[in-house]
Amino acid sequence: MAIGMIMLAFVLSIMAGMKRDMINQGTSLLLGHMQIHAKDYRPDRSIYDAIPAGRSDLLGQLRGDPSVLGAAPRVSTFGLASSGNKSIGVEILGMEAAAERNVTILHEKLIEGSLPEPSEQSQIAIGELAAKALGVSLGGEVILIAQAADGSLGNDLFTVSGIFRSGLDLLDGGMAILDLGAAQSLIALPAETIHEIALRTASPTDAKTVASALERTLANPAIEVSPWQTLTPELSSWVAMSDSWSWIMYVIVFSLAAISVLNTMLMAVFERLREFGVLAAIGMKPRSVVALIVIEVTALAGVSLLVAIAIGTPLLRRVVGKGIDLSSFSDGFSVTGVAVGPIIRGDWVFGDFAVGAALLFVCAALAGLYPAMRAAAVDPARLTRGEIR
Amino acid sequence: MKFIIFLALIVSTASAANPAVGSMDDRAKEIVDRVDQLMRGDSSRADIRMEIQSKHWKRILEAKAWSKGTERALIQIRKPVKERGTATLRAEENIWNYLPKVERVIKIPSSMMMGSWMGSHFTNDDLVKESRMITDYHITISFDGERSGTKVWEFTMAPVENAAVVWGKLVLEVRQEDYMPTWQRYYDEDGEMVRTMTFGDYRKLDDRLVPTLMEVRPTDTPEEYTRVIYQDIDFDVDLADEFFSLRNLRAQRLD
Repeated sequence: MAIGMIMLAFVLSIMAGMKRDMINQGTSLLLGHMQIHAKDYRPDRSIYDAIPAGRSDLLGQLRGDPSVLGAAPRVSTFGLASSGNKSIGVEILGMEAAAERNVTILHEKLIEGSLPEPSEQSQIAIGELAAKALGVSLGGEVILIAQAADGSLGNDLFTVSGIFRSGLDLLDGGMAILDLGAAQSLIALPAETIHEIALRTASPTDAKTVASALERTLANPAIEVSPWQTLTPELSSWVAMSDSWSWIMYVIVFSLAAISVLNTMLMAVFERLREFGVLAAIGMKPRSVVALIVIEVTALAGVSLLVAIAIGTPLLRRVVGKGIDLSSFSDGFSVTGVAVGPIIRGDWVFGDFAVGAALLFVCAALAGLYPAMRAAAVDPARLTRGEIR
Repeated sequence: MKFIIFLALIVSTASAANPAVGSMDDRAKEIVDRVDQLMRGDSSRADIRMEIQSKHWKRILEAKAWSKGTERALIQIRKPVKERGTATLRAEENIWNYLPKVERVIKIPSSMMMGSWMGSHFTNDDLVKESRMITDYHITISFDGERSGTKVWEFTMAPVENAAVVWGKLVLEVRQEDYMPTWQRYYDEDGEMVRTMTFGDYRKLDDRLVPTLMEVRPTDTPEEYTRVIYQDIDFDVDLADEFFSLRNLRAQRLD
């Protein structure tokens, strides 16, 4: 039972850790906890569906909101990146590096250089795979071509100022990052025009509530605030799936625990049938016998729990602290568009542990009922006749 | 540049009069087969005006275009001044763009073939695929008779098996009296019409009757269109294959 407890805690911790990593990675890399767009912007992402409000007013209002920890304005379009004889299709994202640092961690994913600065309008940051495909390195030249808002063919020459590795092929191979102003001038948009504001809030878990509260505060029917759950349905369905997996884990672990309790207690009861007979003979009520066994089982569960805590705590501390290094198997993998590093760290999910422990007690008590009833049903008369050994 | 290639096709069709009489399908093939043979070596130099109407803007471009056969074409924008010198070169299966602002030549990757050409309703793919009509499509005469008082043929072109084409079906209407096309409809793989190209303003340029207006309209946004107007055209001009070079793509004063 102690082993079951440790196993359960271990698995719950890993699952919670992965879920946390998935959500954090998925939201902090580029998405943000929520995003603001014009109502018609998603999913077509037309450059003409800009946020219909003064950029500075809106940003000011957002940054003044206590639930918003960071707000990053962006413009986005699709185009062609070219260098020498090589060209690739890219998503072009114009951003303010300073604002972005409060919302996302793309700057931490740079393996070389830095994100484009507003002072350098001709800088570009691209992913490692894109750099390879274009055959450029830091300081290299990249031409971007995109359909501009006035119908002309926007084109400009940029110098690679940063190369990032996020672990996501989509980003590393097909994303070109410019300064907001540079992107706006590339596609002939006025400086006030933005397509997206990415937001960071206190925690991604309450994104839905905060998003709808924010939408009410902004009170602009042409603007929508979408939490990450809406922006990446894949990620949120993965999270839902991982939650149902923990329920399956509960069922498996508790079935095993219940069977072992049943087995232990049946043995314990059958070995002491004579003693129970004697107890019955001297006038102990069957109900009291049942209570006795159930208390015994509960005590057993209690001891198991203590053992589990004693052995499990250092184990979990290691899992949470250092994590499980899977790098000998792979360099990390991506699930539903989220890169999960090669090291998986667990999480202290005390709530889940407590639920697990409580369920273990209930389970043990239920599993103890049958042996208890057998013990209570011992007939002292048959016992004295020697019919029960 | 499809319009250039297309023009070459039409011009050749006109000179391919009286094809051998056979079964309907053979006849359709015969016409286009002859067209294919006649098109090779045919060259042109044209002054083009392009009007692009989109939901958000209207643009007028003026350009000079050269073509040789179906495989080589060069088009250089002259107006507006801001885009002067922007040019596209097509040689065999490849397309390059020259951007004077950054003074660089860019090769269009195959992944961008369905992208818009210069913001118009023509795709880059339009520039390369047209020449393979005869090999990539199975051509039948789907109508032969009178429509609004004019005798026309309607050709239906279905892609042959394993052909690397983007269209599910093409339907082309041609006037019988002078082999002038009236319209062509493009269908996707599900049989939905995607766009219509309409021809008009048939005029004699350089002693040949040609449609001097071509208009393409996407079916799902019929208020948008790209109109190509031929202001002047010279046929059978002396152009070497070497004319269609990356060097000439970058040349600012080409005549």
